[in-house]
Amino acid sequence: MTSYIGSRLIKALGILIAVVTLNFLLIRLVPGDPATVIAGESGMSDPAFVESIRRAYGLDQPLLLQLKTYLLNTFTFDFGFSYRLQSDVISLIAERLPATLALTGAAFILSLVVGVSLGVVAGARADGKLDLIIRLVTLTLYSIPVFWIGLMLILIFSVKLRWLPASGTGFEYGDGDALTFLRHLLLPVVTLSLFYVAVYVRLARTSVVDVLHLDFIRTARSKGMAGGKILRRHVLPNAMLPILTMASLQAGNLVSGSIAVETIFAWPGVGRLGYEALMHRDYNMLLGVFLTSAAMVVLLNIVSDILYVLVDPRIELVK
Amino acid sequence: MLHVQNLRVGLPVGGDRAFAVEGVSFEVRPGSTLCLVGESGSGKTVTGQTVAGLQPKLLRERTTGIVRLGDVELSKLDERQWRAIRGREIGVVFQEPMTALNPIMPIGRQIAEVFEAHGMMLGKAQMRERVHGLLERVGIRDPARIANSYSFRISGGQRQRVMIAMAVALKPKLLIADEPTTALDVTTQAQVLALLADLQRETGMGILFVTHDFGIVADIATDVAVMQHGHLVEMGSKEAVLRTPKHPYTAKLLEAVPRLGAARPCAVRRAAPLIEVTGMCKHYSIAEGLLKRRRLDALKDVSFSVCRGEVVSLVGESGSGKSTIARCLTKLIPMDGGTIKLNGTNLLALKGAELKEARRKIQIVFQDPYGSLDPRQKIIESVAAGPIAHGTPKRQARDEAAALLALVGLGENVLERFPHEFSGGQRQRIGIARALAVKPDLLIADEAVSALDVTVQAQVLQLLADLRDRLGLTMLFITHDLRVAGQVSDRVIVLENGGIVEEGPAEAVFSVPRSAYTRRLLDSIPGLHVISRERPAADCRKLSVAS
Amino acid sequence: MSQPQVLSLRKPAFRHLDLQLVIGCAILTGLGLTVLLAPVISPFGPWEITGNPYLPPLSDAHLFGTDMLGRDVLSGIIYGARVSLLVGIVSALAAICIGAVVGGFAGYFGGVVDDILMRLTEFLQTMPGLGLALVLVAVIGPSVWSVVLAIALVSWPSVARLMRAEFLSLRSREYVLAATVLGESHWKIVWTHMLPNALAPIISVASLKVASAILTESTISFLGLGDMNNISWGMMIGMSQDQLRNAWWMSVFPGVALLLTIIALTLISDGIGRWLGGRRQSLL
Repeated sequence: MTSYIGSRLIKALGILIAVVTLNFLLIRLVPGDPATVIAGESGMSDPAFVESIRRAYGLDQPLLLQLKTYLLNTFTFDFGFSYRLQSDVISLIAERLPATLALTGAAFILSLVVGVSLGVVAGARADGKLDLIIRLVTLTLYSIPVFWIGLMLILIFSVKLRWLPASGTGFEYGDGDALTFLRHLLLPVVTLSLFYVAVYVRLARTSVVDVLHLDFIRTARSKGMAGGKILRRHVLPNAMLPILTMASLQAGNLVSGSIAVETIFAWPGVGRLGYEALMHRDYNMLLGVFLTSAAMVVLLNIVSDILYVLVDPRIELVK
Repeated sequence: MLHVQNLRVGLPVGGDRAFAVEGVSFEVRPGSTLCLVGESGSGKTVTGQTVAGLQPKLLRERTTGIVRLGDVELSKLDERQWRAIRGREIGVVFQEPMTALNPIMPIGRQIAEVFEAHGMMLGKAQMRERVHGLLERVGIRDPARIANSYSFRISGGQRQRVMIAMAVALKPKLLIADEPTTALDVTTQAQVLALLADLQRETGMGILFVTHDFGIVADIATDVAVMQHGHLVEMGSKEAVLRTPKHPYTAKLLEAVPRLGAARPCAVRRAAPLIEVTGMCKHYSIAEGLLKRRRLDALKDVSFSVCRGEVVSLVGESGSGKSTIARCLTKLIPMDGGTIKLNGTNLLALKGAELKEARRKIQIVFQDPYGSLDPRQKIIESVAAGPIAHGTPKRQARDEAAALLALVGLGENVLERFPHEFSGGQRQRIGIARALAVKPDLLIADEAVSALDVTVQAQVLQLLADLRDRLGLTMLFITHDLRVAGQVSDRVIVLENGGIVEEGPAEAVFSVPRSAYTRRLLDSIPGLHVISRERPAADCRKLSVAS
Repeated sequence: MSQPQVLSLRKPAFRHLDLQLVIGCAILTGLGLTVLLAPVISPFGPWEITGNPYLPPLSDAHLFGTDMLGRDVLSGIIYGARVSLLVGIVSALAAICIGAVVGGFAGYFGGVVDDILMRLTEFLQTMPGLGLALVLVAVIGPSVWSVVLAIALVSWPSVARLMRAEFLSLRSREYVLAATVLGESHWKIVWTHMLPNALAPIISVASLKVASAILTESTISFLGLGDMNNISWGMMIGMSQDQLRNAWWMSVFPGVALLLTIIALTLISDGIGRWLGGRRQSLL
């Protein structure tokens, strides 16, 4: 088991190095001189400044050496400088990260809990009336664009009903309390969750239906076990395995999905930071954000891998 | 004790027939064993499931008739009442022990669930003692370790013992065993059957034993009920049914059971060897953790030869390496040592066109009639594909394919059909025709009749015997069944754990086996001493070739 | 040695399935016609100022109202379907081709080839897809084709994994082994025995890929990073964001159009999946 986790950690490290390399290549994909690109729209295009950037980033050195510098910088948490915002990229990200974590974390838990519960209910009584209703709702949720449902929720709950605030966290003026924060959090979290609720409903339903058809369920019935108990002890643990895999894969999309949501709800998180960087061609900032979200995903993957070992004893057999 | 009266289980509209089981009545007395025998699709499994109330939901609402256990009218129970019966009054053992156990729950806990489901809330230590005692009772030597293991960590035989432990945990009046040994090796099967008989003597339970194998019937039955197409066609005591079957179908089934014995005297010995295998080795390395790898020897220094016109059987249980030999010979997997000589040329040294040509000379027929034909290819194309790949003009290849299909007993009108329109036996015939199409020197039959019902099996064996005689085929016949090996082969080679333990003419191997392992295999054949050996082997040739 | 299951216990689900497929195909056909006949059926041009700003729906000549500049919302939706469908179909096709080739190679040859290709696939699958697509579009520069390229690049990995799994299982099927022993060539085996039998799941996934490509395109356009010269649904919703208090119809109608399109494609995918394979395909 330790060797399994060890192999996973090595793999995660490999992925991180690959991400940083990809980042490095992306910058070089941009048409034009990288130094000018990094200087970006800082408004300072005098040759001396561009030259200083060139030296600071080692852009006058061979490509492989540049990559090495870039890797070393990145792994010492030096993501460069945002000339637009006149600050270190890493400190800007650190400042915004809590808001994003609150948003994506809440959405992750909400979608997982609601989605899996509905999916299990639907799957346990597949083809029943409740199942049909859940499937129809799911189909709709699955097909709604995230940004659009955000606007519609604002339209209904902020503009028409005036129940909930449409933007910000409530802490902007330093006078918020927990309740205000939760009121502000509600719409963005629901917006971000709905699609993933649908994903988990569909997945949980399918896995429950699949597991219910397996032979050991019949064995459990032949022992005289009650239906509810079979569901809890045999169906759910087995049905959770694909959901766990999916959850770690979806985590990455949750992070990038937050870009649109943070933009709509003026949520001061990393996603919006990335969006603004995107709009203003602030590449250091942009790649810093991308790297951060990729790192979060890799981290979550490790967590899910470890969970998987705890749940599924077969894991050591499969490579 | 168990009374089943006029049981009928309907099938949903649109199926092959209107019912799975129709008007079936029987009873099982305490301490006796009723064997429910039939081929696939006979309704025997559904009958067994229905008695335990475990038939699929779709069938439950279509079930009528009376099922009574003691004084309890089972057919009137609701799901709640059923729960009190299952596990306590009726225990069930299923066919496939691998899938019948929850893969992510330790064995011990799954056994403990039987007690818990029936309200026996024992303390932890007490429960452990009960579970270990039970495991010991079903012949598991290391109960503490097995109880903490997961199902994928233990052997097939152990898994089935665990299933039996769960089924008999509360000493039920009735045990329903649905093909419990079909997935097991023959020696393991013998042990499991002995265990069941032993448990029956101890508890006096009645057993409803569902099987397709008359050999098992001969060994363990008190009474026999034969099913065909959902009907019960004959019932009676074992002696009566086996000695004097009244229904023609029973007679046909009995007739088709392969007898142990050599089908023909060893005639063609000492011809020039067609294929010579020396020192064949194959090992796999299995990843264990990140860097550790374990070596698993599938074949250890195997040497044998097959003469022109000879039929040689490779016999062994699962893991003996018999199928690995087939795959090495057809170059589907590379060998790790040894040589193969075909007509004196070393196969391993060949490359390119020579290799392709040499490969043509060794063809194979596979086990699974449902997986060995491309579902999207018409059968004429399947059969013609080989010759076309070797440069035969398309028209000619198709004509030859049609002739071959006729030779294996399939008519003109089947040429343009797709595999799903054929039965299992017919598919195996097509597979044989496909292999013969490229005029091989050696035909390998890898468990080619194992998945077939016994009557169909007899027909396909007959076909192979005919082809052997008419075309002078050289054949390597791979099987787990010594009886089947005897039907077709001149010589028998017995394999154990990747090595040859015995080799000789079929008759000699059967009558004076030299190795202990062969003796054990022979002793494990179910029903060997009941189902008579007298029937002359030539009789089996009278069975019609057409299916 | 399992006995072949002769009794079929599956409830015939054809009527249910037909309904799903019919609804999906009907919506999609309507959409296709809209795209082809846009100049004929559209009341105005997409950018044309044709009336007063902020006309509510059901105004004369403006069924879905007008925007802040007095452009017809319905006309925008009709023309916007072009970009959505074009980007959706082309990028999904590209993703499926890349994925099928990569997955096919990995699954058929196995070994080192498989290891390398699958590492790459896994890596891309761990990346936040939408984020990577946004960065790619920003880096390459906004145009319809950069959007197509970006979407194709981030969505092929799941196809590759599916294809690899199919090929791996097909490769060990006995009819493929038999073809090998008979001496058929690699190409012949792949073309006649493996691809046709791997098609069912691929087709079902194709429809889903189109749906998710349309969603991604609309998100990119919504964020203002798409091709600003071609009107699209996402762009219309993006522009309406500040007008939520004044003109709800500007965002509601393009959104409904998107929603219906995605529903149709999902229905079709599910329908095909069940019809062809009989297996339950998980959606992502």
